[in-house]
Amino acid sequence: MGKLGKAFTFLLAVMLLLTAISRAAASFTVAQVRVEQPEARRIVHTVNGDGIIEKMDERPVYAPADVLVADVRVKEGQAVKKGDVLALLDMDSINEKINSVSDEIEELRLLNQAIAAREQEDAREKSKATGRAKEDYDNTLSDGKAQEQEADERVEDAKQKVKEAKEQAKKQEQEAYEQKSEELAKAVDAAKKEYETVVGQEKDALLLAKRALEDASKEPSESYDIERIRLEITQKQRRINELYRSMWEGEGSIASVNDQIAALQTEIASLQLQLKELTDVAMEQKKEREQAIERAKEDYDSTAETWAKLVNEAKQKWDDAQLKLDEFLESGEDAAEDPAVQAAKEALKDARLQRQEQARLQEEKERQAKRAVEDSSKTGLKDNSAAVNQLAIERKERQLALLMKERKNGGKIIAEVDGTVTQVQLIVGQKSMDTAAFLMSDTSGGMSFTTQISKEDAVYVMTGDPVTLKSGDQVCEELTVLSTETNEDETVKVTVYVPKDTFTLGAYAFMELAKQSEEYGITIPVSAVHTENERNFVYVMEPEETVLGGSFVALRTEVTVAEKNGMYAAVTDSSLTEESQIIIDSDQMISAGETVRLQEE
Amino acid sequence: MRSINMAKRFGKLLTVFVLAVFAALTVAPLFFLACGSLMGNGELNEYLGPFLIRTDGFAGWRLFPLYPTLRNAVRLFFDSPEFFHMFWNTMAITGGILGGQFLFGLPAAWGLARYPVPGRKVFYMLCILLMMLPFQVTMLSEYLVLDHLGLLDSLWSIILPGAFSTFSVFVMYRFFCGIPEELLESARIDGAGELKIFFLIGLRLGASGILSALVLQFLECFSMIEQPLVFLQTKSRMPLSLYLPEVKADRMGFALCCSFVALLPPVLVFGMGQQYLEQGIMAGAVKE
Repeated sequence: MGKLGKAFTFLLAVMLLLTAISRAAASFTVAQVRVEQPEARRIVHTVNGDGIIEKMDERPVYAPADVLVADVRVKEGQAVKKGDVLALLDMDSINEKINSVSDEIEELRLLNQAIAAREQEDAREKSKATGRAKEDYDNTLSDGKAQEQEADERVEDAKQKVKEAKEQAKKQEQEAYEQKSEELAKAVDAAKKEYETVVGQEKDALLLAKRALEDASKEPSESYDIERIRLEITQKQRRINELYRSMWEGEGSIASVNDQIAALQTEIASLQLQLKELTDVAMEQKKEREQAIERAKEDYDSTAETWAKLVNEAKQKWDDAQLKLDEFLESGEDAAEDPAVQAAKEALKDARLQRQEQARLQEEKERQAKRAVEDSSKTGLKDNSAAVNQLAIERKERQLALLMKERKNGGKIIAEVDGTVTQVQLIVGQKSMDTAAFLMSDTSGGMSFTTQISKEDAVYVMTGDPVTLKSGDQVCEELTVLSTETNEDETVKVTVYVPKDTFTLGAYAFMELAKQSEEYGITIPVSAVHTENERNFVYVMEPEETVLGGSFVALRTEVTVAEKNGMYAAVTDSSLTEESQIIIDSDQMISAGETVRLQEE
Repeated sequence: MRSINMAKRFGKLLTVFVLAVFAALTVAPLFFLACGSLMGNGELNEYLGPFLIRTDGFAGWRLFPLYPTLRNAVRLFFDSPEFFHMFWNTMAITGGILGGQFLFGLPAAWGLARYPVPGRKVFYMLCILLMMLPFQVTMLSEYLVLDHLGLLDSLWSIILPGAFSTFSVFVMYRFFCGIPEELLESARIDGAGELKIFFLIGLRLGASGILSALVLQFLECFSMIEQPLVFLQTKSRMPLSLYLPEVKADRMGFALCCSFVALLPPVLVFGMGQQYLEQGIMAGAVKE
């Protein structure tokens, strides 16, 4: 009992401690928020710009366009003072114009609504058409696939048939092939043999011709007869010489010697005759031999030529045979094909062609279907007539504002400064033009301030709007916008009239223009608006009962922001009321349904 | 002789085995609770997914956590002020009921047991009848009465009916009846007044009965569900017994951890009053 009792007491103590700790921890983890209730406000848009104060020579005086002029009270060259009435417009005409412009605005608005509705309808139609085209395309694809498959099957069949036919033909072909190759080989052999024989014969013939040539060119051996006769002549000559010497020495009888010499001389002469005869014969023979050699040579050459030709021919024949054999061996089964295989191949070719043709057609079809899808999903030229209309509405609203101002003035056009009228554009009884009604030279020494503002800001700036200018410490309120002019780079040039004696010429000035919107029932600080997936929402703090008592949770509420500036957003189309506690600030990230508590001041 | 001994021993072993199996089955949920409170949600979803979030397969269990974590305990102790708030609600209800019974039930039991007032039997029978009626039977009438008294949606709507519960009167009555009349007579003769007799003799001799009645009531009050569910509207007044069903399937480990912590006070109280409890249950069981 004692120990357990202590344990129980201890447990209670621990529980008490943990209660305190967890409470404290919870107070840290719960997001502290600041809330604000929505208020009805106007959203103020401020437009700022800076520029230089410049000198102004002539300034325009505007009148609403297309209004009947009742009276023109000044002439060109006339000096006027500030506040003088320059012209009077017809009130009925103004009212009429106001009505017609309002009607036009209304018409344009209705037109825009119709355009929006039609666009929606078009978008629906388009999505339907796209869906159908897509379906067609899918169908085409699946059809094409089926056909493709069929064609593929046909090709496969044809291939199979070719294979079979080939296999069947192969056997026959094999035999034919062997036979043919054997024949060809034989032909090659025959050609070779022929070649060889020709080469052999050529060799023989050449040998014969060569031998004949050799024979012909051999030196004949008969020429020593001539040598012998010459020797005999020389001996006989010597004998005569001996006889002459002996005669001179007195030996023998002169007569016998003379006789002997005469006999010898006769012998020498006959020998010389014989020698000449022999020499002539030898010459003749030599000539003949030379001719024979010439002929043999000729014969050899022609023989060699002939045989070379023959050999070449044989070689050619052999080569041809060899080539044929080689070709046959190389070309294999294609060399001689079975007609069945040929037919099957033909069929295969046809099937392939068909397949190609079909693929081409399918491609064409697919391309067309795809184009149809593309065409149908094409957004087309964006119809920006709505935007154009919107611009027209804005323009007409400005016109309307000018007309309203004029109506308030009772149709009077008043000189805003002292000056001289330099040009009058209004004619009594006619309607006013879209240009300046008067041009005045400013004798009051007025100046102008020009600045460039963005297109977005320009929406809030209109001719005649009050503007505040600041330059250094100087502030000048209630100045008016003289003109606005859109530049090429989409910025807008704003000119403000600056009266004399306000700023120094050439001073740098800063423009402020505040434009209030219509009043919105519910406006909330911009910081309270969160955006997720292009949808705006706010967290609203609502009481919830929990175990720990009354606490608050952050609930998410979707809103549509109609207009906003840097501070506040005007909210329409939401369930917010003026009592809603909108969370504008939190010390932690919060998510929908999370417990929050008010920030302590 | 020997075979008889062997048979006896075998019989004994068999008995122990069978009892051990059933004991294990009885203790198993408690064990699962203890180790489940140390499991992460991922692991628990894996085991209990088929049952909790209807995934395929069958629910399973692991003896010890695969990745033991104290995350659930830390979350319970430091990030769940609701749990402690409801714990103290329970303690307030339990304390109120036990206090009421001590104040009103105890004298009632003593009076019934010791003084022969007329109609005593009828009153006693009435007590037994009320004790026997289940809550569902008296729920509507209780609700009407509490509504008339303007007590609905307050802790008193639980405490008051509990404080006058007749069960503890019945238990204590049994104990007080067990005190011998002679003892009280002699005290009177010695000059003790009735109050003195009640405080000095009745309370001391009936202490075990009083304690057992209080322990039984504590255990019942701690796990009360129907009464708060019917009589309470405001969330901040709900007792702990209604917190546990609020814990969703995706926080199963946290729920097991809560259950484990909520189990501690009754276990301690039971341990403290165990010996008296046995006597009390005996008293309720044995008829005179």
